[in-house]
Amino acid sequence: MNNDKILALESESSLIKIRDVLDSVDAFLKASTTHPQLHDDLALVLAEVFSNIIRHGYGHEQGKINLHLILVPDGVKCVVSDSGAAFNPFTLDESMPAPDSLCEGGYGWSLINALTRDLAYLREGDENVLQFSVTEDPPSGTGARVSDRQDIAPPQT
Amino acid sequence: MQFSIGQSGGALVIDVLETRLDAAVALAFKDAIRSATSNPGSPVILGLSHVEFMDSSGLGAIVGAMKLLGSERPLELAAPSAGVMKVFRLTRMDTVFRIHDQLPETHALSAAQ
Repeated sequence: MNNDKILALESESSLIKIRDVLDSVDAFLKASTTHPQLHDDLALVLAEVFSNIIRHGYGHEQGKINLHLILVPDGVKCVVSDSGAAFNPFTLDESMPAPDSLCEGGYGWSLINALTRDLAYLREGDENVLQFSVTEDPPSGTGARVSDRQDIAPPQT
Repeated sequence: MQFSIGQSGGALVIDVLETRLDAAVALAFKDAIRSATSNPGSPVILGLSHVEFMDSSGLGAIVGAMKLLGSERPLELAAPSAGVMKVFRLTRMDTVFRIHDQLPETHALSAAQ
């Protein structure tokens, strides 16, 4: 596999550093033929995954978060790992809070579930590993992507 | 946290001049809203056209701002980008807020940090 199909980076576990991660991912994807809608979805998913790790896994302690991102024909596969406390996000409620309950939190894991496929968590040694795919046709698509994707090159093999 | 604050009719208009409303600034945003809404005017219309990225923490901060203002002083939104609108739609919070396509014309009160 070519290097231009893989992005590997390491970030400090700080909320402000998530912005640098998203900038790096955006630059990487802009050099690819992926659809801009996928960039938006992936940025949101990564922001939610990283902030969950910083809050729950590291409890705002210093640590490292590693991201591996691989371009595949219909989107990207991601592996995010950290050395924080064992934190299985599947223990969180995946249902979206009811709008009229006016919750100020609890949307993150639901958004991750809505926008990813093949979401899986593993505890490997002293690492949390979260794997998922973000595709150009996500489980909770807005329906806008079919009509506005003429600019997409055919999948490369 | 940069806002431009103005008035339109009876409304207080707060245009958010940040490109990201995310976990890193969610608390600062709520504090800045608390301070900005010491200016009179109702409803409070929050301009989101400059915000290119919002995560669930940013959404939570907007919900928090709405609760802070109470039911007598509704918080409405204006000009969200497609990406921001998608977060409202996925969380169905677009059913809770009145969302204007455009920010109304204002006469400026001040520019505040």
